Amino acid sequence: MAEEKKNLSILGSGSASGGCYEDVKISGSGKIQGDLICNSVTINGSGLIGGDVKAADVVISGSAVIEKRFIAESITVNGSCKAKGDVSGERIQISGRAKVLGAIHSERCTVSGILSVDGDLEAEEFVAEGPVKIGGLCSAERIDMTLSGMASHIKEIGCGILTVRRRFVPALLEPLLTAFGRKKLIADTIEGDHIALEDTEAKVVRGNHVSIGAGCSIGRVYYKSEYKKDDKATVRSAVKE
Amino acid sequence: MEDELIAKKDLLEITGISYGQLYRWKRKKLIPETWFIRKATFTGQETFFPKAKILKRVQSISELKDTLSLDELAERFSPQSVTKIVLSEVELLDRNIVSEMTLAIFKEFGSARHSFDFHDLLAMFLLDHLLKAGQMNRAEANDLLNVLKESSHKIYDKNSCLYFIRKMGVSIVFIAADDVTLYFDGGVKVIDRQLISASVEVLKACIEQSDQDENSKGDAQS
Repeated sequence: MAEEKKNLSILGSGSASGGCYEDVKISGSGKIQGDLICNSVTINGSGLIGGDVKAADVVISGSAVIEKRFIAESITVNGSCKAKGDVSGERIQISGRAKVLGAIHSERCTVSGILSVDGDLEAEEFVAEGPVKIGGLCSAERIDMTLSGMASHIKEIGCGILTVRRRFVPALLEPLLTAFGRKKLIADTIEGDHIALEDTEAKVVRGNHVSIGAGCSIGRVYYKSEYKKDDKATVRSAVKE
Repeated sequence: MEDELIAKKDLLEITGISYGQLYRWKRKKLIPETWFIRKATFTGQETFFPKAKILKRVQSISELKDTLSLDELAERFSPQSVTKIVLSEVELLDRNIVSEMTLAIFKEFGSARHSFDFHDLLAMFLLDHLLKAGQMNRAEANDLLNVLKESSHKIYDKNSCLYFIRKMGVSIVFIAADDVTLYFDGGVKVIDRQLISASVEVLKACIEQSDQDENSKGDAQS
């Protein structure tokens, strides 16, 4: 297109209409009415986008609300973000706090803050170091979870390789921290080829190679080739299929 | 008739695929979401699949996955794949998709080609329908083909609607990009109204059906 796209920048408080832009920057408090298609979005203050967002790069360091779908190649949330529709991004990095009312589709999703998704989460690689809450199916080739903060809730997990680990705590501090209650993962069903769990509560675990580590409490385990259980785990029944 | 269902674990056992593969294929949309049927069982909730469909799909994925990438496979299985259909003139007539008359008009209008892609097929299919119903004459056929030629590539995935109206003997053909209600003045007569998406479905089914017939004929001969 020959038409040159303009930059949009809101400093202070203001509102603008949506449309096509090159770079969009909100540094104070800004409101954008309608859909936004642009190269990059940077929100440092507070931003509200009334429609869809389609962009290459999105960085949210303040707080943002997106009313509809959110599509970007790379999404970084350092502050807080609420998306009311589906989110799709090749690379999603959440260091702050994100709440998604729809589903997430991603290639690589990394969470070190807090993530809550009402729908499904789909990714090739999903790495979570903070608490996550997923209302639907969490499906990925590789899922790597380190439990910390509050308990994580995931309704269903379906994956190739799943690793759930407790965060390493120095022995000296451990009694202190356990007094606050163990961080754990609570799930309904977990299915995967290689499953290694720690501190997980689940009703059903199905897999090829299953290893149930310390602190787990599992209803039923169905496994195909390999099954290991730690002494400090409780499993009601384990069946080889 | 309700399809026979198969539980997920039985499916994995029969086909020898892993959980990882199944979920990967689901993520890549090789297996439609609607095939995942949840049912309560005594062990809690389990996922079931329509047996015949899923077995066929898994088999064709397994056969093709060494030669095609997953993305190429997804394209092949998606409903959008109609755009890949190309039929020759002979096939078209043999399979009774359109009449010879329609084909003649279409060829008069366009260049003298011998193979037709899905856009052409759809245009002919709509034209055939209108001609057969006796609602359209040959001059008007050109109007129809014109509007379809101009914009048919834009309207596939939308809920667009083709209108054919006439007032005082003057006919107009147009496409509304959405299925909206239109109000005309009293002298206008709406002669026909076709949902494009519905026509696409019908045409696709028609082509698939004739594909199958061809195949079974071939099988019978061999």
